[in-house]
Amino acid sequence: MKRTTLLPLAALTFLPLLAAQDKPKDWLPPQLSEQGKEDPRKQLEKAFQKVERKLEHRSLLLLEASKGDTSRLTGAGASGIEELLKMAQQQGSQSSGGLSDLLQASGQEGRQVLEGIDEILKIAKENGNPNGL
Amino acid sequence: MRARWIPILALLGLTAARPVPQGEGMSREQAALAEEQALVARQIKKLATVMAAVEKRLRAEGRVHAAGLLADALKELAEREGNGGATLEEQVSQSSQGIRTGRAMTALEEQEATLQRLERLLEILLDRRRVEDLEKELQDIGELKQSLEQVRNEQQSLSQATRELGQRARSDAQKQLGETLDRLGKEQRDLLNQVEQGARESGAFEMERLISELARNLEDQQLNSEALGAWKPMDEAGREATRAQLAEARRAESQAEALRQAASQVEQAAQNTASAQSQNQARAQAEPLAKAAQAARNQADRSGSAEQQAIAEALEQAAKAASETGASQAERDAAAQAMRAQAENLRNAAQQAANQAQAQRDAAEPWLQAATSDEQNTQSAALEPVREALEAARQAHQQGTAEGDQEAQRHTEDAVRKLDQAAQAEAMLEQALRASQGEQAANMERLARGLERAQGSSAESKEQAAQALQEAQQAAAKSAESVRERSAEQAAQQAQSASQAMQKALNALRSAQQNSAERQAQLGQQAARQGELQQQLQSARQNARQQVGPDEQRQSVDSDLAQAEQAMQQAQQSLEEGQSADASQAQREALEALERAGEKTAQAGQPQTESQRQEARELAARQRKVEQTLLELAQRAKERESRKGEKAAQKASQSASQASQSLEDSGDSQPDSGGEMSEAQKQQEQTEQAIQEALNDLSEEEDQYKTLRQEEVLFKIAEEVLEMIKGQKAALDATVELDSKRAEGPPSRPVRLGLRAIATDEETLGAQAGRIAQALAEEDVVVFHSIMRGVEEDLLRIARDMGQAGGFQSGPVLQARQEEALRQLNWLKETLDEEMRRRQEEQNQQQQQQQQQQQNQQQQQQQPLVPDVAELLLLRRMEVEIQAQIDQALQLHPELREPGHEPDPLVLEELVRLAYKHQRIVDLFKQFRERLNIPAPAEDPEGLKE
Repeated sequence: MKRTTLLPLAALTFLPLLAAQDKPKDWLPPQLSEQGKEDPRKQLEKAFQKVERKLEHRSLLLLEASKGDTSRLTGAGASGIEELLKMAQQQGSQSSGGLSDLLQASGQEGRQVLEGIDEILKIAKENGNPNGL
Repeated sequence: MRARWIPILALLGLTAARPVPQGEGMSREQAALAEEQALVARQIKKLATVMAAVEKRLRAEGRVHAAGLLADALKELAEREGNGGATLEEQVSQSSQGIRTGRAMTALEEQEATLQRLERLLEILLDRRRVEDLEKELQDIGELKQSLEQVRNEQQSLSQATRELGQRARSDAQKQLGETLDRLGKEQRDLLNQVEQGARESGAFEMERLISELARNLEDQQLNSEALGAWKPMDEAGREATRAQLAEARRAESQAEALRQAASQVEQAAQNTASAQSQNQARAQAEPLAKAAQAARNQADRSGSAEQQAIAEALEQAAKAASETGASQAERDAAAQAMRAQAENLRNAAQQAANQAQAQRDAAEPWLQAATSDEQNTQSAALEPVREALEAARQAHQQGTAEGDQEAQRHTEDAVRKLDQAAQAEAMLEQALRASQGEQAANMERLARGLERAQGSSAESKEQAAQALQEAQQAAAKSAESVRERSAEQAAQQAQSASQAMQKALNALRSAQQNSAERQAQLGQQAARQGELQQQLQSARQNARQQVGPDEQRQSVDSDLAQAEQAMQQAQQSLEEGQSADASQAQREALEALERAGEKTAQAGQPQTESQRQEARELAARQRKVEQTLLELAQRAKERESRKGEKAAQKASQSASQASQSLEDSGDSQPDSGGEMSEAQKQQEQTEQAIQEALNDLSEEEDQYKTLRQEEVLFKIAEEVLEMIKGQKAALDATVELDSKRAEGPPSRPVRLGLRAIATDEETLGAQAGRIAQALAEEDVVVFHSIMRGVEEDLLRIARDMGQAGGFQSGPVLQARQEEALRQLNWLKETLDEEMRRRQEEQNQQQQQQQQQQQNQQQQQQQPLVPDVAELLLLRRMEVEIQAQIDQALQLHPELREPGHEPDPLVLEELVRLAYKHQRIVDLFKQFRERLNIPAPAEDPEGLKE
């Protein structure tokens, strides 16, 4: 029987019960979804790949520095180096055009490698796995 | 490893390193050594006695685990080993004897064996399992699992063969019934689809839904009308007046009770005064009376109550009489008499108050009488309990006793409570009635909107229905309004009108539902088809009753078919009446019943031919073998300490036994004699499940052993690395010292000898590094392994360079390489220590939350020997180290900042070394990434884009 009918009869007969029924019911707001948040595994993959690219580039810069080859500073890949040098200068280094520029650029890549590793560790921790990845 | 125990063993005087002199006779040193060994033997004996006593005490205290460790240690002490089958104590004595008799080699061997046994003893006492023991456990578990997996595979193959035989063994009648049911099911489904499609296209579903909903609403409204017919709003003025009268009666009853209590108190005091043996005893009555008088006075002052005033005065008089009583009995009697007079006054006043209360109740009676005269309305129902309570109060008062008046007081209070409840009920009822009519009005509006959308019905009837729905909606809304205005009669009439309009709308909708000729024809065809299907099912059912399967199965199938038949009949009838929704519902029920019957018919049949029976017997024999194997495996599991998997394997063996029995019965039985084949299949499934349970139990234990083993491996590696650090530091110090004494030119002979000795140490350390690297590689540890392998190569190269092949190097370059190896060893040690600390903390936490630990153990995956994070942190450290070296190079060589400057070849060599080291980090990182199954980054030759 629907509430439409039940109410008047119940009110007449079962007043105390009805009073209890009419209390507002507790309800819970729907769970907020975490939509829009990237899959942690994907985040981890991206972070790893970024670190690997930076490591490789740093190795390349160190290899050229060890050959005394500064041609990259003025050659095709110079735009990337300039960017790294600018970052290094923002942190107090001075550009000279010599081998030190290559080393400073490699140092800048090294800092980004460290940041990347920290990012990986943070993702692991945030996803409840502080020891494994 | 051994280094850790050296201090402990030294305490026992054991050392294998001491040279034992050879030759005839015993020197003083030999004698001392022999005596030391004898002392050790005595200490071991004493140790055994102490351990036995402590073990007994711990067991008595209930510390079972600790006692168990001591018991194991005692067992170890009593163990006989070696060629002579000696206990530890005997072994040490034999060593002592060997020294005394000049058999140095024998003594050395005994001492070596003793050392190992002492280490084992210590491990037992420290509750640490040896890696070898753990590996043995793991091997046992692995073998048991492998055997279980084999038996599981055999069981799966056996189950499959049994299923196939069961299918082949089905009787022709069974197969025929199965085919018929499949066909009928398919045809019934087709018909259902046709019915639903036709109903949707013709709008019949929508119309049926409207009708069904309106019918329900009408039913509700009829009940609502009845409720409204009985509703009579309460006369508020009358109720309030009655409430006031009853409250006054309650107050008077309360005062009467107070007067009665005061009278009792005074009466009691009078009695005490009369019976007092002395003046003081009589006068003692005054104090409580005076206190009660004061309390009554205070209350009278607060409330202004005349009754309280009277109580106070009477009590004061009584107190005065008591306090002034003389010494003689006559004076005490006189005082008691005066007090009794006061008590009498109080009782009279109490009676008056009770009479007043009754007068108030009587005053309320006429209104209540009138309000409850009609038993059919809500006001009467709500007030009747009030009237009854007042009647009970009147009867109690009429008793004319104090008890009667007390009872009347309770009934009066009850009447007041019930009157309040009636008022509350009245308010709620009014609200509910209004809501019911409001809701009905809304329902009618919604149905009217639905009707507009409904298709395929007669326009005229639809119009009539729409109009009636509107009338119903308006009437219900008016009724709700009348309830609000407390016009009961009007509200009831309007609710009745709404009900009538709803009935009219329902009739019109039913007329509108009259189908078109085309639709009628369609429904007729569908009903006829449904009838045919039912006939076919009836015939199949009759055949099934006679032919198919064992009794139990036959009855069950028949019951399903009977349900299907009944549902088909219902569907046919509904189709004939044009009720598509009902028909569709019944058709679905028929389908479900057909499917159930089909599943049962598809169950295994009993072997029909001798060849099939032979096959069943062969399967039974195979099943017996499985049972036997499982029994053996259960026994093997039982023999292990944990007994994991034993119960599940036993369970599997039992169900396997039942399965083989069922198969044997099938092999011996007549066709259709019983359901043994089906039973066998069920029991085989249970066997498979139980085997899986046993496997799961063992896997869980295997994981625990793996963890324990890892902890041990980690511990041993850390110890070895520590030993290496000490050795490398000693080698470095020795090199520095030797180099400082070295003159220009070719090395002198002592220098060469010294360098050779250091080189030998470096070589030994290199070999040790190689062993650790190998162990790490076996544990799939990428970064640590690589570093240790690097240390091994560095140390071996250092050893070579310190020798003739390397030109006896000992200068700063070589020392820097030694330092580098030392630094890397320190890194490894720190990280290993950190990992062991972390594991220990984790264990402590788990011990604190034991329950949670069990859940975690079940959920967690086996963690690697060195966690990924530790490996990554080590890589980070290496990267930081490279950067520090580059910064150092820039500081040491400012000329590198000059454009066009030709760098020094030595500087370039240093940079080559750094570039090489960095490339190693890159390679390690790649290996690490690959181990984690993370894809490589996309090609980016410049390496600049993220």
